[in-house]
Amino acid sequence: MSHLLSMTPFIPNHSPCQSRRKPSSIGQGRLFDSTLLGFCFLILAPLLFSSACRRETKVEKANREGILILGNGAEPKTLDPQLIQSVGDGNIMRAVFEGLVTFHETEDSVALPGVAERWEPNEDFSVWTFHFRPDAKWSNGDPVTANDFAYAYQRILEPAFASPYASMLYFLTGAEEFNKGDTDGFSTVGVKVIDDRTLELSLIGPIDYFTEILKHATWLPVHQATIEKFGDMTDPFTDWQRPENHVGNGPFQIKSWRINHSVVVERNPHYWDAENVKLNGIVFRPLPNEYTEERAFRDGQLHYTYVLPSNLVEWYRENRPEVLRTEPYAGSYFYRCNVTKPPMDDKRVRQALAFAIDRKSLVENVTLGGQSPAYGFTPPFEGVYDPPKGVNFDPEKARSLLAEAGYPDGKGFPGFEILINTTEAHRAVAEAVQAMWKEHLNIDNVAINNQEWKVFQRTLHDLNYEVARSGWIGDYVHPTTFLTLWQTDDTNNETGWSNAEYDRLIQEALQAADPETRLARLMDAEAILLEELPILPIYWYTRVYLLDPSVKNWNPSVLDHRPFQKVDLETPERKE
Amino acid sequence: MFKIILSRFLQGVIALVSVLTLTFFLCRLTPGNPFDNDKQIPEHIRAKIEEAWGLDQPLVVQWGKSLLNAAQGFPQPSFGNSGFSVREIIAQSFPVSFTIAVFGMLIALAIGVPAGVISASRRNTGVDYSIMSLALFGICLPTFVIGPMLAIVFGLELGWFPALGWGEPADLVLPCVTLGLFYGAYIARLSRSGMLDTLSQDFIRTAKAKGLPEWRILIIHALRGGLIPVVNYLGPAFAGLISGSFVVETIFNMPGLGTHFINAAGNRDYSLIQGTVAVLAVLILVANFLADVLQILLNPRLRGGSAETKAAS
Repeated sequence: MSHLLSMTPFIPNHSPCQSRRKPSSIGQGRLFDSTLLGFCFLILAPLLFSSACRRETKVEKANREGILILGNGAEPKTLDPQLIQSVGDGNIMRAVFEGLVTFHETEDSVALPGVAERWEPNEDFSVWTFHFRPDAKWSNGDPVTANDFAYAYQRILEPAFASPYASMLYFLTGAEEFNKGDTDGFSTVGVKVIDDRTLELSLIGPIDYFTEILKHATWLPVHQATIEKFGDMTDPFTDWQRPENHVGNGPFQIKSWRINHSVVVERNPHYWDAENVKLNGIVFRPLPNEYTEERAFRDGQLHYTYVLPSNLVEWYRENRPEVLRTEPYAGSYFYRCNVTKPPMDDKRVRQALAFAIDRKSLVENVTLGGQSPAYGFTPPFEGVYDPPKGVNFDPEKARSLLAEAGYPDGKGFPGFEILINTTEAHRAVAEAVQAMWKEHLNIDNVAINNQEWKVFQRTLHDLNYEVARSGWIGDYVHPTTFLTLWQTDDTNNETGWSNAEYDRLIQEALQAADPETRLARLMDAEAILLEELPILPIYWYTRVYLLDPSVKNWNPSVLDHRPFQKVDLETPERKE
Repeated sequence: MFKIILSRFLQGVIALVSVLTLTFFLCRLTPGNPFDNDKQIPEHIRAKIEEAWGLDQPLVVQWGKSLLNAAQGFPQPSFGNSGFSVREIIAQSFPVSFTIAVFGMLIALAIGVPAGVISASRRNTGVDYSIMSLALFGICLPTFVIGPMLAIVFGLELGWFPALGWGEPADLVLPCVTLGLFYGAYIARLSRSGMLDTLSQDFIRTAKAKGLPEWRILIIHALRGGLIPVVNYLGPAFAGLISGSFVVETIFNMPGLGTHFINAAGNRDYSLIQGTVAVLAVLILVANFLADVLQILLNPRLRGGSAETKAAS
């Protein structure tokens, strides 16, 4: 751009007699007026022409053809289920692969038979046996066997493969040791192929909610022959995940992938339940800019937007409520406190800050997406878990706690920075919290510092902050996916907080023989977390998005897991 | 001419190596790396990943490898999208950006040159003032304002063109017009001043004295000289259009190179950063070279000048 701006226009060098010349002495002919007119016509003609006919929208065309078009957030990084990291990539994986169990249309915590037609745990839920359906097939027609799953689990755990999400499989006995290179050979891991159609998995403890964990994309199988046709088991950069080579076992198969444009999947004729799959295909479009995505929806190019900008929610609520969807999402928005640095090393300061945040006002006036004010860290899972009521808005209590900590009426408070990654939404929340702390605690030396995403992650990791904006999305429907985070040695702890009693309760919960004891231990652990407050809970996420009314059987899901094989489109005259 | 081409080529290679070297070290000095994310990867896995990508080797070795990779045409996979090599990503996205840039530039010229010529020929009249005010308006309105405006009016309200997307010819209209209006405004101002400069010269007065019709004077005699500032500007503007259309690509959701240019930096996608920087550098070098050649062809004095220098030496 500097190039453009530094261009100096030529300054005409007039002689005095020239500048006295009447400017109209040149250009009196009629020619230029007609040129001008002709030129305008040239520009406008195509516009006038095209206005004559109304285009069929992409959604209308897709409805005729039975194709679902989804906004899917960012560009997928990979189509390899053992390398994925993001929620959007997981959506594509769920369309083209099927795990041992699959998703229920409406009940988040129910697992339906997938590749396994039935399964049984042993008495204490530590050994699970899965029996495969005989008709499960890969998209190339090969049968899906127990060996494919064992192969996939070995692949993701192989140290040399270095899968970023391998720790999801640490529920298997010996998996962590094998992944860290402490043991040799996959035979030490609790995966046993009994025969082609029977798989036995041994777990590190009694895990009654194991089928929930199995729904995560890291537990999907891969086709051994395809992987090995293009490279070694542990080579992450091979061509097997190319659309032309890709083999899956889900209701759909990969048709094409164009970067920053689309991933297209089409019906997999070999899928065991193919006759009940309603859609002929799905187009996943990366639309990282939320305003662009909303325009795409209004232009009839999308059935579904991944998100909706918060400042447009009100408009849709009033003008087009039939396309607006709001549903709870298993995620928690909170502030991390670095407990190794003053003033956050004082529990009373953290408590004072937590009780001085008016969360209800924040979600109603700032975030606007129907989020719920968080009273704990783990979002409530209906029928499974409700966290203890740890924090609320209590300015009186907050002030007295701050006084106890030695800063009556905020006097002498050393001040600190709220660290955010550069996004307007995070800044808005931070500014609101900053104002609340000033109003209720009389602290006026809280600054807001924003950092670019990667720098922000580094700063967090190096414990180089005081208070930092954070979020956590659950991997499965159970409080352990939230609470294991705050154990002393967890990679994602990043607060410097360590509590022996908390660690003990979490381990006890993981080893508890019955579900009630487990949930009770988790409750106790979360109570400690909310007493100590290395984190300041703010709100629980909602997903707010737009959905075209022609989409049928698209139900709320707290983990954004949609069984695509059940989704349908209202299409009176579909072409087969 | 051959000598000029050869010397320009060698200068280009040196410039390219320097740019890539600078980019390499700037990337490594920036905090954060390709594998930092909100769910942190356990240390033992991170170490393995860095080993697989060669990030554990001494910096000098990595630098040498990155230059070698550039010399081979970027066969290395992208850090952010390991399913594709940098070469493929550029091969997929470059034609998109190139198409938008060509049509955008054609629209800019179609608007800018006539507007500038008319303005110059009617200097200091109402026509001149209104065209130049419009041009100033166009320069001041950034593409991220014009783009969504056009998308909302012509895409969503009137429904004449797709509001965004890539795949059919109609998708080209709004993004190209957005770029065309912005660059057209610059070109209008540049061609006006170029034309004014030429129109004030003696040979134009001679032409007028000979009684030539006005359109002949403008089109045949003045335009060639008057367009020199525009031609000068075209080279860098075109390179900028191809790599710098991030905003337009985001607004209209197009799979172009500009998006990679920005996202690669954000993702610390070291290999893709090198690739996109190399493309931009080559584009600027080529564009400048072509602009120089065109200028020599358009301006007889430059041709004469070089002959005189030769004769003198």
